[in-house]
Amino acid sequence: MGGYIVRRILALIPLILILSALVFALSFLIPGDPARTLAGGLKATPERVALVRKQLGLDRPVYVQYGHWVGHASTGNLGKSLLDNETVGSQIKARFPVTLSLALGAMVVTLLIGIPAGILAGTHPGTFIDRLVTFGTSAAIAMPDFWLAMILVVVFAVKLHMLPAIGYIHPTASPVDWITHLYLPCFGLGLGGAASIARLLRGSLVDVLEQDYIRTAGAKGLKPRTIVLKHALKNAAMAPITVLGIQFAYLLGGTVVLEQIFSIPGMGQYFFNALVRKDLPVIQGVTLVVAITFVVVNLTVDVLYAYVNPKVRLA
Amino acid sequence: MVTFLGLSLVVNACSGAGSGSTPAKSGGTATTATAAAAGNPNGIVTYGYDLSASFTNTFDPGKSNGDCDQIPLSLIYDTIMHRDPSGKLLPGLATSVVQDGRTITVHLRSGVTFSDNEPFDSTAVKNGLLHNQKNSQLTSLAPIASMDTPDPLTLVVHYKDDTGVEFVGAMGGRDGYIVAPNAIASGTADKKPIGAGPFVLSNYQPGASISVRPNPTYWDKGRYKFAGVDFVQVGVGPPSLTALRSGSVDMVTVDAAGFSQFHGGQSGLDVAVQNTTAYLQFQFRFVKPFDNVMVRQAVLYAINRDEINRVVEVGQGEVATQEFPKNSVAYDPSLANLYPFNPDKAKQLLAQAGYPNGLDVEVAIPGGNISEMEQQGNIVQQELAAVGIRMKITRILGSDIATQYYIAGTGQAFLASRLGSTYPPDQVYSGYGKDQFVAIWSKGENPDITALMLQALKLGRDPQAFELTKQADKLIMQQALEAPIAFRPEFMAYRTTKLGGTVHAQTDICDPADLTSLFVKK
Repeated sequence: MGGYIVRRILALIPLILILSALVFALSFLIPGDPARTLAGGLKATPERVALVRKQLGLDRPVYVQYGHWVGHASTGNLGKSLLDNETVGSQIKARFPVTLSLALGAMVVTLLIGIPAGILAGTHPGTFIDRLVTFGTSAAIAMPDFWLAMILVVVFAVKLHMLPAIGYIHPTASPVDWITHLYLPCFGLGLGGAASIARLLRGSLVDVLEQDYIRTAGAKGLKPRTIVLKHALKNAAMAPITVLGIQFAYLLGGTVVLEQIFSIPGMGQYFFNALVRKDLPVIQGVTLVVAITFVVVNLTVDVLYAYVNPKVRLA
Repeated sequence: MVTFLGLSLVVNACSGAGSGSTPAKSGGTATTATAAAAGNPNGIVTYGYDLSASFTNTFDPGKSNGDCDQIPLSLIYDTIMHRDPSGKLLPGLATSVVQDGRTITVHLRSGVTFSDNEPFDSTAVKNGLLHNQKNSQLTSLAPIASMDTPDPLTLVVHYKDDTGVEFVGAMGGRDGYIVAPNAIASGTADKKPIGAGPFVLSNYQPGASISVRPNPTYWDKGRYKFAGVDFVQVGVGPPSLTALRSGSVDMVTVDAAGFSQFHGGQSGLDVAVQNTTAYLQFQFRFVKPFDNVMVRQAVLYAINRDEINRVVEVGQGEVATQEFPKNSVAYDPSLANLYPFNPDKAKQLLAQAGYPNGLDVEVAIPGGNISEMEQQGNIVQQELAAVGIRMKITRILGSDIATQYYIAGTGQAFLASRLGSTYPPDQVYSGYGKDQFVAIWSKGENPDITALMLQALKLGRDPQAFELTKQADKLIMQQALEAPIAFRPEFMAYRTTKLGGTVHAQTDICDPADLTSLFVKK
C-alpha cells in the first residue's frame, strides 16, 4: 500500500507542472489589458500605460513571465492581485476555508441524504419506496444548483425568515451563525450530488444483494441490517466512492455561482470577480490551487479505492 | 480678482454649474425635522454593497484602484469639497477652492483634526495630496507642479497646464481624501485608515463586510443621525433584491428591475431615484458608413428615445437630445427638437447618402448579460431595421472595451452608457478633443471642438466656459457626431420600516449616496 501511494505521489509532479503551464497559457487567452485599467483606463496616456505594463512585468516574453511565475509559485508565492492590493496567497488563505466549509457542508448533505436514500431504494427494489426515491432523485438531478438555491432563499429567507439569505460568519465568531449561514447554500449545492450518489448506490446494491455470498450470509442467519451494512455496502460503495471524488471537484466549481447568490466571500466569488476584471495573477493562482486540490482529492479517492479493493494496487 | 473668482466658484457650485444632475426624486417621505423624534441615534445602517467586485481591498486612497472604493472611504476621509445629491459642490473640509488660471488656492476649515487628533492643516493636506499623486488613477493630481503652504489654513497648488478646473471638481471625490500624516508615515493607511471624516473604520472582513463607527473628533457633529454603517457583501442583480426582501440589508443599489419591484412603499420597501449625468448613447466610429453625416443623422431620426427611456429606464430617466440634461448649465434648448423620432426622414436620408436598399453595420454593446444594455441593443436593432439599417450586435465585456472596441476596432459603433462629467467642458473635450483616448480611437478628434474646449478649460467655471460648451454641443448635434438617448437614473431601494428621513440614491455609479438626511427608526 505504501509503495502504491509513493508511486502515485511521484506521478503528480509532472502532472502539476503540465497543469501550471496550461493554467498560465490559458489565462493569456483572456482578452483585456490590465495595464490600461491600472493606469487609469481610457484617460491614461500611452506613456503611463507602457510604464505600468513594465512595472507589472507584462512587457517581458511570455516564457520569461511563466518561468518567473512558476518559480515563485513553487515557493507558495502566487503574486499580487493587479487590482486588490493584496497578495493572491493571502486572499486564498483567507477564502479557501470558506469555500472548503461550503463544499464540505455540501458533501455532508450529499452523504446524509444520498446514502440512506440509496440504501432504502436498493434494499426495496421495485417497491413504492424505490419509485419514490427514483422520482425524487430524478427531480433533484434535473434541477440546476443555482435555481434550487434561489428557491430555498425565497422560501426560507424571504417568506419564512427562518434562515439568513446572504453572508458568511466565521466559525470562531459564532459557530451557530456559521452553521445557519451555511444551511441553504450547502443544501442547494449538495442535493444534486445526493441524488447521483443515491442512484448509483441503489443500482450497485441491487446487484450486490443478488450475489451468492449475500445469500450465504442470509443462510447463516445474519440479520438483514448486518448483511446490508457490513457485507453488501462495502462492495456496493466502489462506484459511489469514485463518483464522490469527482463530486467534490464539482462542488468546488459549483461554489462560483452559489457564492454569488449567497454573497459568500469564498474562492468562487474571488475567482469570478478576477475573471470579470482580468486580474491575471488571481485567475492563475486560484485555478492552480483548485486544480491541485482536485488532483489531491483524486489521489485520496484512489487510495481509498485501493484500500477498499486491493486488486487496484496491482494494476 | 482671486476673491471674485473664489466667490464665483462657490456660487456657481451651489447653483449646479457643471453638475448636470437633477434633484432626487426620493422615495423617502419623512422630513429631516422628525429625525430627532423618530430616529435612533444608536442605530446602524446596513448597506448592501458588492465588496467583492467593487472594493479593491484598501482604505488608502493612494493605493485605491477603483472608483467605487469611494462608497466606504468617503465616510472615513470626508472630502475637501462636498457634493450634494444633485452633484453641486459645497464647502467641506475646505471652505473654498479658488482657481485663478494655473494656480488653485485651497482655504481649509479651521479647527479640523484627523480622528487621531493630528491637525488637519495645509501641510497635512499637501502631504496627503502628494501621497495620493502616486496613484496613477487619480488623474487630476498628475498635473500638479508644486504646492505651497503660506499658512496652516491655506494651500496653494500650482498646475502644469490649464486643466486646473479638473482639480477643483476632483476635490469632491477620491482625489481629495486626505490620509493623516502618521498613517502615511507608518504606511498603515491600507488597513488602518486615519482620516478626518465622520466615521472611523471599526471592522473589516475582506469580501464580507466593512463597519464604520462615529469619529468623536469630527468637525461637523450631528451631520449624520445614526451611529454607524455596516457595508455587507451583496452581489448586484437578483442577490441584492433578495437581500433587501429578506431584511439582510436596509438599503442597496438596484437596477431598473428592482425599481419596478419595490417602488411605491408596499411591503415596507421603497426606492429613491436620482438622475445622473450618465447617458445611454449610440457612439459612432467615424468610418464607413458613419463617416457620412446623412447616415449618422438617419440613425438619430430612427431611434425612438422615449421608447428606450420607457423600457430600459422604466420611464425614470430623461430623454436626451444632447450631451447635457435640462438642468445643466450647458443645456441648449434650441437643440431639443433637432432630431424628433421620424423613420421616414431616416429612410430618406439613407437614400440620399447612397443607401436606398439599406446597409449592414456591426455595433458593439457591453457584454456580460447586462439587462439594460441587452434591452437597449434589441430596441435599437429593431428601430434601425425598420429604416433599413441591419445591425449586427457584438458583445464586449466591460473590462475589454478599451482594448477590443477602441484599440482593436471591433464594430463601427458602440451602443452603451457613457459616464458624464461634473464639469461639462471636460465631458465634451474627452469625447472629441485632440489626443483624447475615445476621440483618437473612434476617429472623432475634431479641431473646432478642441479649440472651443481648450478655451473653456482655461476659463474654469466662468459662465463663458459653459457658453463655449453649448457652442461645441451644437456642433456635435448638428453634425450628428453621436446619438444621445436617455440620461440614466440611479436607484436606491430601502426598507421604510427601518429607515426614515430622506433616502438618496447614488449620484453616479460609483459616487457615494448622501446619507446625511436619513435616520434609523426607533
